[in-house]
Amino acid sequence: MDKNEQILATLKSVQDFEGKEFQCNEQAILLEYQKREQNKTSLAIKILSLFGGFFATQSFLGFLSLMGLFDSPTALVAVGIAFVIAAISINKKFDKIIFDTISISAYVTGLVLLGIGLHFFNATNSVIALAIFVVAFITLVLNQTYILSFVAVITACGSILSLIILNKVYELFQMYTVLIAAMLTYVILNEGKIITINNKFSKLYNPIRIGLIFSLLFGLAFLGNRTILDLNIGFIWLSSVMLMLLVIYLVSQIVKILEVTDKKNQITIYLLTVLVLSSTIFAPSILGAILIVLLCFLVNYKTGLVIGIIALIYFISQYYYDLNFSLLTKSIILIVSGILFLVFYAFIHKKSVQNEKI
Amino acid sequence: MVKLSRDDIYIISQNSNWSAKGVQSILKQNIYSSPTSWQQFLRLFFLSLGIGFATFGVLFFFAYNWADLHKFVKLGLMEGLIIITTFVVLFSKFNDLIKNLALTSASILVGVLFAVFGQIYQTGANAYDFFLGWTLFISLWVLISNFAPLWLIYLTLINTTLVLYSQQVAQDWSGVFISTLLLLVNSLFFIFFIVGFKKITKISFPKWFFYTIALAAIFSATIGIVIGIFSKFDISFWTLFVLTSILYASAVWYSLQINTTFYLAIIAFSLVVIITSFLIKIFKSDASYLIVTLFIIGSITFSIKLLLDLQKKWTNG
Repeated sequence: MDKNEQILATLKSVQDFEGKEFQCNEQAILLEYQKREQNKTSLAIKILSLFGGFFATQSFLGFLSLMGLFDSPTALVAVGIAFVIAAISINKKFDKIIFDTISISAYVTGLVLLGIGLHFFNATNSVIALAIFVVAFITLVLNQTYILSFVAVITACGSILSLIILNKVYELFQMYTVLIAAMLTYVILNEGKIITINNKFSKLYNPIRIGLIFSLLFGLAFLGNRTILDLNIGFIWLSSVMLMLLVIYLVSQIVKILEVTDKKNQITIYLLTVLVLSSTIFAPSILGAILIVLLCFLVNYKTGLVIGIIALIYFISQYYYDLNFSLLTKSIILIVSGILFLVFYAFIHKKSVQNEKI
Repeated sequence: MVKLSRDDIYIISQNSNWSAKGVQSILKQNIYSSPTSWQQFLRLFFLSLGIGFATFGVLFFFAYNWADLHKFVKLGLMEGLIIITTFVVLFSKFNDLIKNLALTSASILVGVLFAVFGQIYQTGANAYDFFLGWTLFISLWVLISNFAPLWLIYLTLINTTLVLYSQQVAQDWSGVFISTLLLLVNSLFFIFFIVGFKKITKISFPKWFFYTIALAAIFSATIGIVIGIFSKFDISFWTLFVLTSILYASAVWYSLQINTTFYLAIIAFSLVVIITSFLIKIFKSDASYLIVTLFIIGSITFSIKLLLDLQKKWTNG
């Protein structure tokens, strides 16, 4: 079979590359490829099962509520936990797409029921948020499928965000964002290290990566929207400076990749970078989006790259929209920034033409 | 060295004792962006940012002075833009894609021109005749363009005109009637494109174009029938019902002919929604939720199994 020969050739080249200590379980690898080949579905079928799973769970919930579910807090908590456990076990046992969507709907519904039940028990909102965080973390430990782990990561970070909002400690948004950004940088730059720890981490790598990107975007959205949502965050430049340090660290990695050896060129690049980034000192959301774009392009992660670019466009538009200057001042700022970027472009263009000549 | 993909690396590393350093260096070689792609990316990035910022700067400058401009200057500016873009389409030496994009921007600028006109003379720009005028005036350009996005914009305009007309003028048209009308218009365009274009111009449109039109048609049919179920079963409802059945049957036949599952999937979804609303209407008791749940799970599982089997048959047979 052609596909099998291809796989064996791949394995052989990896072996040649790695050396004598490399051992692998060929049977398991061939089996894994077969399983992936069989489970390919078209986009239309995926969307159909998404809606089906969602509507089925909601209708079942409607039936339960008519049976008097919402009158008893104990039943709510019990059914909530039962839904969550059902979601995790269905996902572990079955691999087809329809069970994926049913388990996601059951998981989310279970969490919601758990929250409502705890509320009826007069638990404070912070306790509910903590409980949901614990459930999400346990889900990550127990289950390694893609979609459920992604939802668990988002739920965990979302519960932390709600803790911040509920207790009105809005300054912590900055710490949250910087922490998640640092985690994302570490996760993306150390792909090899993480996926070779053990199989659990290898399967969790993808969902954690995309989950962290979305959680970072939530944090950035709060920082970007702070005037609209009337959050009083002092010292906003603190998070900007931290994010700027992360971006400059990334730029140093990129300079290594681009093999720029001339000292003068390196200094020019760093100077231009600091100049461009310092214009965003009051907009950490733009810096965060730039971080996402650079990280995802470095590892060739197309989904993250597209999300980062869309977020960048959105945050830049929002920043300039909220800016408290007249339209005339804004137009001058924009034109000057535009010219600065075109200078950067000309510099890179000149460098690449020089390299081609060599 | 065989070209490895990310999936390959993950599968192999999960089932072997590959070292972390080895995986990282293979990732760097095979998957991570190379210096040349970095250069291309950075050039594109800064060029787009530079042009984008400069353009918006100019736009903001005009917006700042807009209220003070004389009305002839405003209209003249818009008309000048349209003339420039049309000249680009007719007389420049760019490739076809850029010319089509210019024609699309010219068509959108026609709408902006009418909106500016409405703003200056206070005609009330949301009225259906704004969209009607816009549609009529770009019809000729759309016909000669053979450009899928432009045709989609045109169809959106036609749909918007019809919906606004029913909301603002013909308020005695029932929801069922306007859905029937939309279904007819969208289906006719769909059939025209499938049958007519191959014979006339030998240019075929991309798949997403047909998928979008089919989605619009099936969406209006579903909404119409659900509205009809929850109001009364009169003559317009039965007309819509018969029309929908004929169209769905022919769409299923067409789907089987050209081996795509898309139309079958959205028709299945539409049928589930219709039958669910019908079930909700006839079972008014508490048991209706349970019946609905069971029906949804059953029908979706059945349709997915059917579609997966069809797909396997087409990729292997």
